[in-house]
Amino acid sequence: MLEEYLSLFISETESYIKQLENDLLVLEKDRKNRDAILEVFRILHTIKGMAQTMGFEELGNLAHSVEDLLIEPKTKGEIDAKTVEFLFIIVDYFSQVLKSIKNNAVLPPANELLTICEEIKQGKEVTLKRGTAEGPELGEIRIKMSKIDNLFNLTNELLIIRSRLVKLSSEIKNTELQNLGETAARLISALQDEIMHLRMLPLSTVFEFFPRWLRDEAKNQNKEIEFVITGGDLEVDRSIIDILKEPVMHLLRNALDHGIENKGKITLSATREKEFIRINVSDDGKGIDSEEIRRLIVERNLVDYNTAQTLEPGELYRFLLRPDFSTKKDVSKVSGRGIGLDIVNKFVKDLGGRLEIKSEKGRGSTFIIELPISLAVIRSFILGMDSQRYALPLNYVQETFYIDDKDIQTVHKHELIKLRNNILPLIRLPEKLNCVTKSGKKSVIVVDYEGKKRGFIVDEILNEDEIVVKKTDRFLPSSLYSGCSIYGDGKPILILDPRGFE
Amino acid sequence: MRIMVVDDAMFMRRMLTDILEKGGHTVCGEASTGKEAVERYKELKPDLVTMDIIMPDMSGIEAVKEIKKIDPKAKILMVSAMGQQALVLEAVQAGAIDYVVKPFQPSRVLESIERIMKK
Repeated sequence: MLEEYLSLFISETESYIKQLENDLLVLEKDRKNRDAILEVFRILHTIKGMAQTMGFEELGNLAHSVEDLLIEPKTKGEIDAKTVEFLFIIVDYFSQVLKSIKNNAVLPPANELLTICEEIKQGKEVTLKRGTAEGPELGEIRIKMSKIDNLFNLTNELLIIRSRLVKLSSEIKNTELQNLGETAARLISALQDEIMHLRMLPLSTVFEFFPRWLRDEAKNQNKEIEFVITGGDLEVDRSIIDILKEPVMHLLRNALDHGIENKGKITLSATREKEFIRINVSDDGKGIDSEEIRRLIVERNLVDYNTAQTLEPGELYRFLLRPDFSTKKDVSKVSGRGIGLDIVNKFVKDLGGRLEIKSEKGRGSTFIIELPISLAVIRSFILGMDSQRYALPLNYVQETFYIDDKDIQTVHKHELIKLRNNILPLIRLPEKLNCVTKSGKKSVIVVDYEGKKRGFIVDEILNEDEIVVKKTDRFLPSSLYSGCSIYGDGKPILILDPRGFE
Repeated sequence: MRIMVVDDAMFMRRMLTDILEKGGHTVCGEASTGKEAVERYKELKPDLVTMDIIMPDMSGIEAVKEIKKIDPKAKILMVSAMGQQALVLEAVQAGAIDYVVKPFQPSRVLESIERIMKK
């Protein structure tokens, strides 16, 4: 369907490029021309939106990155000569891309320009030459990001082959083949690890932006803050770096606007836990008034009075993430948290992560973003039910054990089991997935999501494996699944989303 | 439903119009700047507006505020490119109901409209 829009995209982008060039010529003579700065920003932004819609990812990413260079000039009303010079190079690149699109040729790679753009943002000295590339240093070579991406995709395919190989060699029961299969599997894993690392960037790439920005924001509000960052050297996949800035920025702004009254400390920290990174935004401000939330959710008929009294603070805070909870009026009463948090929550969820809130009245609040280290490869349990297979990402899993039907207690039609003096509500997966279930001994998988623990009853845990997430339409027909993958035998396998089983 | 499409890029307007019409809606008008959007809103009184943010003349956020002044019940769906999340929040505070980030899936746009209609 996008084909029909291609010619419109080309002609409209061409006219934008001409306009961009004219604006840059104006800026070269008058670097304080605010209108021209705004116009350049707008055009880059529009080109970005169109390019991304058409699926020209590199062009879109570059426009996105360059757009950020204009943020400071936009507020200052002045642009520096180097940025203008760089923008001319960008215009040349855009023209080349359009030419290639028209000729059905391979698009010129953008990563060199992306790197320069990042360097300019970090205030590094860059040498700009139009149309030429710099030579590599001794002992180092420059590799185009697209090549790494290709390698990455190839190893992903190898992972699928690996699973098939292991499965097949265990079926054939030939020792020599089995040894060979195991060695190959180990090497493929090592190769994949290495390539994953090539794609990793330190979080400081995004974090570097915040100190100056938060200082300015605080100054605008006449607040005095101490801002501490830790864990910037933690490395995560580039796909996550690209999207992390906005949600974190929003949480920092929230901490400044609503947590800190006049003076205080804001901490941004990152840690790695298994397959997750955790990013904490904390303030030592006034905290969230959970009693006020309790009162409001009853008033708004979100829960009845009796239930509201039993909710713990953690459960109460979750209401702040709901789009139907907050209005401006309520929010100012509950220390200002609310507006936009549902949107941050949505971003994080879309990435397969979660947002948690901790707070103590009078002591401050912490917002925790938890994200998977990579969006492409996840470790999962492979479950067998009714001759079908499903994957359950390990990052939700806490433990597993066997049970017999007689261990299960039923209270108010809900099944549960006692686990080390705690009550664990049970969910029968085969029932939810409309599968015929086996009788007899079953496995329980204890999953933990959004602060809640549930026991998933499954017929059989077949295996633990790394699966490659295939891109699917984001809107799978059911909330029970977060995506799909291809398993070792070449058959598709659905990835379960525990959050869909409530 | 009668919908007005606001975006400075003709490409985007065309695409949104096609998506909306395929979804059974009528696009009753278009605008390419915030100012034009406000003017055309008065004249067309659409059931819903899809609104870009970064536009010449008047931004989508200002336009939301102006339209809300004219018609507090106006239903506005923000459709903006990624990287403008802070502005999306501002738009939501100014009275927009929901947002869709470009590049969007057609189904996402239509779903969002359906949700808005149910409210």
